[in-house]
Amino acid sequence: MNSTVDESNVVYTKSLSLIEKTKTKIGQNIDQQFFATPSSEISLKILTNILNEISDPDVLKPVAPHSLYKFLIRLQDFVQDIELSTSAHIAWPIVAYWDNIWFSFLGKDNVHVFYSLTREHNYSISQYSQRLKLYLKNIMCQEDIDRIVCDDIYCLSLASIEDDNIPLYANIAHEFGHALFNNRRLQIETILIKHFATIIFSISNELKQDETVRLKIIKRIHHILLRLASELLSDLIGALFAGPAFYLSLYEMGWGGSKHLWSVKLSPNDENIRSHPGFNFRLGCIRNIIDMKDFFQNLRDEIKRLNMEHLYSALDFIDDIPEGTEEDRVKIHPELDKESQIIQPLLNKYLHEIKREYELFLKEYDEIIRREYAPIIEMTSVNPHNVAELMLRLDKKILPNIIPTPAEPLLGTPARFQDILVASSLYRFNLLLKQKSDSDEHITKSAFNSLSRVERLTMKAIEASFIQQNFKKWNNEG
Amino acid sequence: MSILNRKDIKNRMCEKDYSKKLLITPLLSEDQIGPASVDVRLGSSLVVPKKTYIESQDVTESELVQQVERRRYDRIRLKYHTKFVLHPNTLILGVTYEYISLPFNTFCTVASRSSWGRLGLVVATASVVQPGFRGCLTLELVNLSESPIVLYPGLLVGQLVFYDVQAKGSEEITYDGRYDCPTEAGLPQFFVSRESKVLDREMAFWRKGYNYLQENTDKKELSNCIE
Repeated sequence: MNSTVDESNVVYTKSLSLIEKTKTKIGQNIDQQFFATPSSEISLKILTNILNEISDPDVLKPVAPHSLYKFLIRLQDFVQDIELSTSAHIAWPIVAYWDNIWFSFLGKDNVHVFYSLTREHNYSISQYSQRLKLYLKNIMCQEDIDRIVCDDIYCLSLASIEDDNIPLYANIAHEFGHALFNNRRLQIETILIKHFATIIFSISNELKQDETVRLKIIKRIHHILLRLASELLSDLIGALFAGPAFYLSLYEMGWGGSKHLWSVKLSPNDENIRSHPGFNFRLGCIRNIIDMKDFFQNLRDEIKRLNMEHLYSALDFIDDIPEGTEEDRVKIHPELDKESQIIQPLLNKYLHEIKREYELFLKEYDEIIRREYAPIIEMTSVNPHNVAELMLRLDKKILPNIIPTPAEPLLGTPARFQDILVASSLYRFNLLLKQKSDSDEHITKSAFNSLSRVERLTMKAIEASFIQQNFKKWNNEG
Repeated sequence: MSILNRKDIKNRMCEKDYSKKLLITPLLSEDQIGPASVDVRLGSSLVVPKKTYIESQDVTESELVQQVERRRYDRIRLKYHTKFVLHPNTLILGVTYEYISLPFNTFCTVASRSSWGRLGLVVATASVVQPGFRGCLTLELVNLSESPIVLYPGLLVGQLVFYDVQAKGSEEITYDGRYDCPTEAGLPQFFVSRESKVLDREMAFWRKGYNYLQENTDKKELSNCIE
């Protein structure tokens, strides 16, 4: 008996069922009341509109069933990002603060961000709406896509493995930097070309391949340099918006790897090339941006005033963090990519010049950011007096949420987020140093207990202070 | 032991040395300090027990207690300006918005504010706070009325009454209990070990005694059958 298998029909029916399944999943699993920030609602609305639109037989007709099926499978990741953006996974007091910064920074251009989780031990930001648009191209016309996905949305993923490690939340500022880079790519590229023209020219002269291959290699090097610049520019934003807390969180993110390695991961699509500068170079750049020496000297004076000299150990440790970059080297993956063998030695040969140009680029862009975003930088500046007072409170196992003021002995002044974050980061390092010197046989338990205490006190302080400031504002207005 | 009045409370709150300071932070308004008490607010962290299929709650079975915790409770972090409906005859655990630090010479009790009490809302059943305690207070919220009660984080629901501990040598009193600077609604911690405390071992003793009795009864019954 002959049978004709029409796979298209099978896939089409399965896709229709998947549309309904996804709609039901959204309805049952996502409780909008618990979204950490309002932008999750905008993203969810877009997904719901897409599902409604593709349920319409008139829209579906011209779509190849396999394309529709593939899109729906990919859509599940987008749904999961929103599922993980509720206060069950994301600490709303922390992202509420960053959301205010985001609004002043990029929100006015109608660019939104929502916060989700990743299982990687890393923070990342992705162009949520852009990725959606890209996948939708296979099943919808551009006009419909632009009508449905009209907002520019980013998804900022926090490392779930460290979701209680509050000081690492300073990395959020770094991720904002990537969004800025995307928004201003043309302007930044122009500045970079000015800095790197000589180096690119020298590298080009060393290439003996035919013209086509030579141009391809130069194009790839251009993308590598662009990606490295994106990381360094994001560090600049991290340093300006989160100060020493960002320095410490970046230092911690570098644990477990080489501090001298400049890593590059090639991809057949140059836009997907990933590259990261060496950690020591990055830390050195941050020190130059935020004048750590001056800040720590003032902090030492404040700590001395409070008779808390035992808290110097964290400051001494940070002073001694090695930042030498003489051993820096570039490593390019995958080694099987035959151009990696050509690009790697060239970048290593010119690494010294490349580093010098990046330092100049950062200096130039630092001035631009300080000029354009002066109010945010003023708002996020860290006060050594406040940080010392908050470290004292942490040392006494007290919520670091108030700066004592003689004028208001009972209520005090609510501490600012950035001061809490820096005090917590520094105090946490003090504990890490203390645990090392302890000979307690239960060191794992005591390390966990003391670190988790600082984390929960920090989290609660941020919540208490956020509400106190809002209440004060409302009270003064009323 | 005497109850502290407003003046005493303020004096202890204005103390500069943190080890001697009565700390209730943050106070959103000085009006929270009454003639002989301080009003406290509901925080954002809740633990909500759920209907479950576990047999019973035997707190002497340490492993079982930890295993069933996830089956018995939902943890919720409410955003402010979001309501929570507490249905009749329901117990949930809440937490104070304020963080408390009691000096060695101060003892404290927690109670419902009278207006809420008249609605049928009880905020604390285990109401004693020892000198030296630091942390947010877990509230046991029960709706004893016939109608649901709507709660919002930030509402003033409870009040703290402070007592002066005058006994000699009270400077040496330090709290080393199971609850180390809690900031969220906390589940009972029967099995957190404490130095110089025997309660945990005592639980095991009572449990072991029960098992021993059962084991011997079974053996006796078994030997009777063989005979």
